[in-house]
Amino acid sequence: MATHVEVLTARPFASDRAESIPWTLWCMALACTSAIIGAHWDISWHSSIGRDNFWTPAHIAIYLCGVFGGISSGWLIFSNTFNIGAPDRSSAVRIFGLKAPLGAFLVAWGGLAMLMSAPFDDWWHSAYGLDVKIISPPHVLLIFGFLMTQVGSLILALGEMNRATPEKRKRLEKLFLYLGGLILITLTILILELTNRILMHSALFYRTVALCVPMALAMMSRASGHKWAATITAAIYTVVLLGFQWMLPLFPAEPKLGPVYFPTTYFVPPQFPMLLIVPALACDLLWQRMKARGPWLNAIAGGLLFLVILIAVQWPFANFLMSDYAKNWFFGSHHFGYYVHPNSSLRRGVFFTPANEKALSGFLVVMVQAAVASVLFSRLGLGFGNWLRTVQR
Amino acid sequence: MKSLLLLILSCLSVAGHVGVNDVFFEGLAGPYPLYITVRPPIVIPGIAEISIRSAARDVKSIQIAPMTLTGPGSKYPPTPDQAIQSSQDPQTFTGALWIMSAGSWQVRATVAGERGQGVISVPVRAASQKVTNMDTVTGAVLIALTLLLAAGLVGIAGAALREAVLPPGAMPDNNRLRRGRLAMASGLVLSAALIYFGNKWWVSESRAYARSIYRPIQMLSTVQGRHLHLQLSNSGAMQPRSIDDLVADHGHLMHLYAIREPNLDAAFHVHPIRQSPGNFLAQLPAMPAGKYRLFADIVHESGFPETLIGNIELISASPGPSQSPDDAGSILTSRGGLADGGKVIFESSPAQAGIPLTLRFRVEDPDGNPAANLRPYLGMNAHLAIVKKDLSVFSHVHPQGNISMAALEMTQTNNSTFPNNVLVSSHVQEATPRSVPAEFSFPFGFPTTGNYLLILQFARKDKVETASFDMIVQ
Repeated sequence: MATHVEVLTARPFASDRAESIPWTLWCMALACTSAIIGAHWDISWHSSIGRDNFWTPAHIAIYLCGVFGGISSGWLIFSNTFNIGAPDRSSAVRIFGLKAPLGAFLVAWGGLAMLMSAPFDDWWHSAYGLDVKIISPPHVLLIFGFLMTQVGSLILALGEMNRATPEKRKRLEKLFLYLGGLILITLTILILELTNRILMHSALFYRTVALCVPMALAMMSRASGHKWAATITAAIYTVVLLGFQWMLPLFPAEPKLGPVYFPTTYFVPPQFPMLLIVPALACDLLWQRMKARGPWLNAIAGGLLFLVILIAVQWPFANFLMSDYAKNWFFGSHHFGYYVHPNSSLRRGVFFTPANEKALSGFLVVMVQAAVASVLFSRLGLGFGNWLRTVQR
Repeated sequence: MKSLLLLILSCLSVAGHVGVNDVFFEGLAGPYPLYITVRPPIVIPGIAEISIRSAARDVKSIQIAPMTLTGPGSKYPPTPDQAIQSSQDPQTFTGALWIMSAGSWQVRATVAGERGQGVISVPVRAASQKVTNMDTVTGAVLIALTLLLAAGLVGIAGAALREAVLPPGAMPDNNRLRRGRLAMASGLVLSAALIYFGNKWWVSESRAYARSIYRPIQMLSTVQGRHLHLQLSNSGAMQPRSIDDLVADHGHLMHLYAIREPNLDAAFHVHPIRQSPGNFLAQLPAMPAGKYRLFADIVHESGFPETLIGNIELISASPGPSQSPDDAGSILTSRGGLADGGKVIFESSPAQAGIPLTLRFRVEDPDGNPAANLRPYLGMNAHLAIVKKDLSVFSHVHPQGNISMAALEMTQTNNSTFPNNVLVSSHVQEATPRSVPAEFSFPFGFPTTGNYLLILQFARKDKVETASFDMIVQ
């Protein structure tokens, strides 16, 4: 009788656990979310207040990425390696004697990179002064750490997805697409300085976008198998960025660093998101119809389509963003960081043309580079996405 | 044949402001007399340390804010910082401010006390001074973490192709093992490539920073006949500046000190005249023969001051006289003694390197009474040149401090609602010369230990007196 009761209670519990999304995955999703919030908050902080210290809320949000990622990946590595409470050791890979799902190692690697960026950045400040730009070696290491944490979480989710029942797979797919959206957002942080609206009439802008975005969209499309994966990924980017753009100015802030060229009184938000959702939708439609074709053909068609549609929508939209009509809460073209000089292109509302694009030939050369980059990185994304679909552990 | 022979040479300039990076300033913020020390950062952007001592006891709080000296950045001060009142000495306040770019800045201090509010701005020159090398411990930690990350990348690449796509529980076959090894080799190559290109990037950033290190404008100095020719050339480093954007600093575009080497036994304060962009000419006063080190103070229109360095050698004495009535100097023989039997008394607390202090001088007539008939010299009560005996330090100081007076005037011009309560005259010859008290004081802090020479100049009746003093800094 006692045995019977034990069986009756144990079975549903085991079944629930098998169908539920593991806490480690939630924890990693929380880590990735925290990093995205922290990064945008921090960029806004540097545009509005300027001065910071180790313990600003924005920094804490970034550190929490390391903490949550470290807890979940650490637990997975520890429990699998020492066989203490690991749910499924058979789904682990081995690296230098340690065992865990592959994603856990990537998250741990990302955490280590973020950890390393801290003393490196500290020394960088003491040697070359405080950074006034995003793209510096220690910052890139930090962002690379974010990215690896997100890719690791993505792989962990995929491993679960690829082993899951159809019902669980559906739920995991949502999480997977969300994580893909965060990866796209992180990539756009990396290229933030080269995607300002004043550059939207330069080939440099389109080459920069082509180096990052088609890869993420193609990867998400192939890895998830979802019909609208690229569109959803771009939609998450758009919604999150709009959220930051509309919410950050609601909070007061004032510059604590000089020189102050624009006396802002609130948290300066990021600029209006790029219209990535339109080319993403076009790519989804294209890839749905080209499933049977080879990856190179998909990459060539998808990469070129992405670029053409992006130019078609972003170029005229940039005119609007630079106009007075966009200087309102919805489009936010009236927001400027305190350090934006009154004579700068941004404040004057004029497009900036890089020196090598002054002549039409120079512009076309960079545009061709953009097309090549869009195709190659689409191919890379498709290849990586195909591999991700097969990940089991 | 003229007693003065041709020529000689030469150029070379090293550090600007010559060995003194800190600013020492005395002035009034409303009714409150303040002694302000600003230690600008040696890397830009970086933190400037501010120390303010009020001579008055009724100061309750001081707020400090950094702004550029000129341009749009001088219009909007950032939110000021509250300077921290010392618990040991309630009249001392300290704070730290970020200086975000190289160039001319000002630190604005707003004082609140029992007698109301007072405001004062101190010009500050900000320039990157050096490239810092990484210390061994940080280097070792970073190398260890880099190797760990590289090893992790290799391991992850291997596991990704060896096991990650296998169903749970399955063991990798030989093909998978081979793929895993290949992936690890690729991971190794990728790690090496990342480290290589990362290092290249770092080196290029470091070189770009090194190019922003402050280098003064170069000065080629030659003597022809009784004339000193100076030719300026821009090293091109740092902020926008030119050899032809100079503004007058208490009446002259250039204040040049010629100090005879090696014994520092003669000093002359002359004012070369601009002939054409970057070219200056001075008719030398009566000067004994010998080798001279030249220190030329100039101020750019942005308020950025520089001290240019040059050398000349006079094969024989210059007969003089100088073209400019403002030129003055002499052989430094008597320590404080004046030609008419009067003397200058020098008083100072023992000097320690890095510690701000006040150098005080008192002029007495032959009877020991405070000297009368003192007049402003170049708009100042007195001028003090501070020279380290090895010539590694030079500073031209006024009673307001070692700031450029032209820059100080810019703080007044640009902040008309917050006038400094400091007397600054830009007129060399005042219409009605005011009377000057027989006591002078100069705020200053010696940057390093060693032996220094102080060269004091002031005007008495119609003559500029020069007196010198030795000082040992511990």
